[in-house]
Amino acid sequence: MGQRRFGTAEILLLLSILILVVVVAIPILLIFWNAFVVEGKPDFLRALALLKEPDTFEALKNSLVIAGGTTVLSTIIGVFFAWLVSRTDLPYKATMKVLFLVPFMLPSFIGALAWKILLSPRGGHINRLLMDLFHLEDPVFNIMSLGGIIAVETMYLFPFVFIQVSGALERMDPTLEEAARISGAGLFTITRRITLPLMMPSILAGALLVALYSLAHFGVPAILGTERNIFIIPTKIYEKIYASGGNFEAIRTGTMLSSILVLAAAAILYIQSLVLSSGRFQVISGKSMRPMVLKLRGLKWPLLILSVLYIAITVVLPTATIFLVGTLKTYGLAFRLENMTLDNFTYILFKWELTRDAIWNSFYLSLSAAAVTMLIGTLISYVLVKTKIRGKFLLEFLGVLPFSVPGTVIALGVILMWSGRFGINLYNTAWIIFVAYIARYMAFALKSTSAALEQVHDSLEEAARACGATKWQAMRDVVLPLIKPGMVAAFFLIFLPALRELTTSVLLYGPHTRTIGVAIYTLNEDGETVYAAALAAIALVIIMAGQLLIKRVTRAKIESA
Amino acid sequence: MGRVSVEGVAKAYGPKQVLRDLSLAVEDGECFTLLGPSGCGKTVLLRLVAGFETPDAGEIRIGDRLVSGRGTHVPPEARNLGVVFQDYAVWPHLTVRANTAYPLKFRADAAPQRATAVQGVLDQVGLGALGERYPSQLSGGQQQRVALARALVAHPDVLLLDEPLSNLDANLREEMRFEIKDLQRHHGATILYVTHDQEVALALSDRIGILGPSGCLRQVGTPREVYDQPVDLEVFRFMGVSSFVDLAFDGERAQVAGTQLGIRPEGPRPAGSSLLGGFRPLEAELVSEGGVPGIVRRVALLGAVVDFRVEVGGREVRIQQETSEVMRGLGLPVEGQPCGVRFHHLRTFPATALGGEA
Repeated sequence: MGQRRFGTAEILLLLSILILVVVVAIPILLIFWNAFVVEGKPDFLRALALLKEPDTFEALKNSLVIAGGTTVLSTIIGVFFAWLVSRTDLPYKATMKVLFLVPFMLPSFIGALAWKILLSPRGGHINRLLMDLFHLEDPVFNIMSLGGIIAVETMYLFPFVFIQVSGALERMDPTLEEAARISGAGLFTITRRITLPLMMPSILAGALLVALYSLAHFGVPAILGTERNIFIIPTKIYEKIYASGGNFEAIRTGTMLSSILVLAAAAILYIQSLVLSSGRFQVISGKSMRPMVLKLRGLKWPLLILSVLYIAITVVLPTATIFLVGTLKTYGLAFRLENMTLDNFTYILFKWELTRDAIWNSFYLSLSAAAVTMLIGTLISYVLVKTKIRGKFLLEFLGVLPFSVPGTVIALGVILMWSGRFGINLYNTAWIIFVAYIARYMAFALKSTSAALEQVHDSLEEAARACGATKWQAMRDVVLPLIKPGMVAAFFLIFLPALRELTTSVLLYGPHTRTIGVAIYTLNEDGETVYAAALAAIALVIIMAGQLLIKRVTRAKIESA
Repeated sequence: MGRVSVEGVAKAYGPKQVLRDLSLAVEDGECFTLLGPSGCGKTVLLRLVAGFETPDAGEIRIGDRLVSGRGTHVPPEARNLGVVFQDYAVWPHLTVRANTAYPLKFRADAAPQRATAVQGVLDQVGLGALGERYPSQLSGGQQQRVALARALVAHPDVLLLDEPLSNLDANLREEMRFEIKDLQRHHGATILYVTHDQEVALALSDRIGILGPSGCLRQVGTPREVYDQPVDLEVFRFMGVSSFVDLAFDGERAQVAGTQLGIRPEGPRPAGSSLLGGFRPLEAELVSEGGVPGIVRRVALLGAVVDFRVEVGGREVRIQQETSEVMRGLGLPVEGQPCGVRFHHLRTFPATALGGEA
């Protein structure tokens, strides 16, 4: 192996580098190139001038306000509920813990759609109900505002903090708290002086994830903000590119805003890696231990009711709204049985070409993107984890890139790359969405498959070689079967989010390449609220079925192992 | 046929030279143990023989065939070896039977023959009834037997074992030690065994090679030779608990701390150099009268033996004596009590070789 200068390992390395360069690196480079290079010369003044324009400046400011507000609110709610389910004697803790993760599975733009139906200032059902009840002149709530966007995003993003913190609280060595207690500290002091500082890295890690997502998020601000002229960076990019009908100046503005997004995302990820490597995690062991539990006494049931109410309002209410509105004969009718019909669903599923195509497009695009990305991810992870060759650092660097690129940026980069500039024009075809999905979900595939490969100790492969298997036979008989669960996980981690993808596809769709997300979004924009809701309801059913399928598959895996 | 010969092999990882100019030969059917402290490169040598690594210089032959060196590299799968890894490397997705049968997949044997061969080797390692289990349902010792069965099933010319016993508890280790020996007798394979555990090496081997920390072979010999006639102080220390006293010579007669010894120390005696006398805990005893004067520093009753730390001529030495003997004789001394030490056996070493610690 080491004798030849150019062997299989080198070919695999070059192939991996080539794929990442084409799929991720060049699109990102093109964005920076278009943003800061004019006629072959670097020009940063134009970028500055653009930032000073009122509408871009406003978008930047809104992005900061929304990302900041969502992060703070998600952190507070996430930490509170995490503490409640892991450190108190709240009744039905285990069930509540599962319920708090449900918002994760729901696409937030569908939630935004539901909240618009319920709380838009004039037409919102709840607003109308309250106005009728109390004979008010003005609506009580306005979800189509900065505050509304923050509230809705928080509902769907707080689980990031919740997962991180509840995991850390459960793994924390209880003796650390017990030691403080023996030293005479009260529970409040222990929480403030011991528990909270120990939880800080987890809290920060979760909060930064929320910041990253809300900064790059398109769906909620697009549905709740655009109508009211509230723009953030991703929706501004979308507006620039669509309003301009593809003129180059607009694309250039888009690339500048994208550059800001990339830099912000990179900064957030950098801070996160600093937080995670600060070593303070060492007090949290891998073993699960019995943590100290606070007795809630009289607050037990009120806090349970609060939690249940929170789930009811943030999950059940919007989901029910989507399903109910999806059955209405015409939007605006009261929710009475005679106004309801299932025809909407059959129309969408079987008769209307636009929605039928969208469902089909989403299916085959997510399926093929998930399969291809999973295979590419396995290849790259294999080279990263299992081979020792020079030049690997280049692949390591490229492998980090997919993690820091927001969906809007990927879409724009893909447009720049595949619109004929390099001889291939995929614009308005399904291929361009396919390529964008690969770039967008590469990070998931890399994470999942490299984790699986790291668990396959080298000696397992070597044992097969010693038994008489060639490198390929050892791969087939030992390595592949052992990483199969990781590959299956990677597939589903890509397939399900891709099925409901909006941020990237909305910039790339053509007349015949709408995806489910795009179709719901455009139906809503066109005022087809009932059909938008019906399609959203179908999407929710598909997503839930998918989640159940994953549980089934992963459970079967555990049993057979 | 199963002879393994390594000639002038060198291997470096980056700037670190692990092995330099190493030569050794394992005869056909011999059980040869490579013994050395961790990090001395013994596993590297095993991996070179197995073909997982290529040597920077030198040649490796298995039987008459050149497998590494002179631009040749026979891949591991073509070397007809059995390897047992330190972590067993039993495949978790396959049953015990499937694990064991894997090497036969690459042979021309007919299916019924294979099944008999697998059952036969499983019976030998005492897993005959557990063929359908998965490794996760087995104890560490059982997994180790699976690894052994898998290495033996195809009747390899050479069996390479990399510290396969180090993860087992003491009882199991002892049991497996004898089983490996029996299996080797039965199969007649050449064994190259790598370990840092001198007890296993002594019990198992026909010959032992001692590898120093710098990756050079210090001594090769039968267990008796390396234990009883160590070539140097490092080998002596490595083969078991050892203590040292400063020796002075007055013509033919040796003195420790100014006291004449009743015995003649063995080993080299270069004129004019200062010498050390080395001994094992059971090669000296405490006496109530006579002997070299010392002070008892620690007394620990370990059961069958009593363990003493005694200060003799400025050095602390370790002496063990049978408990019954101590009780019948002078009784348990208290710490700080003066005593006499009588040596039964001393080996001489140049004093410069001993570092600060003993």
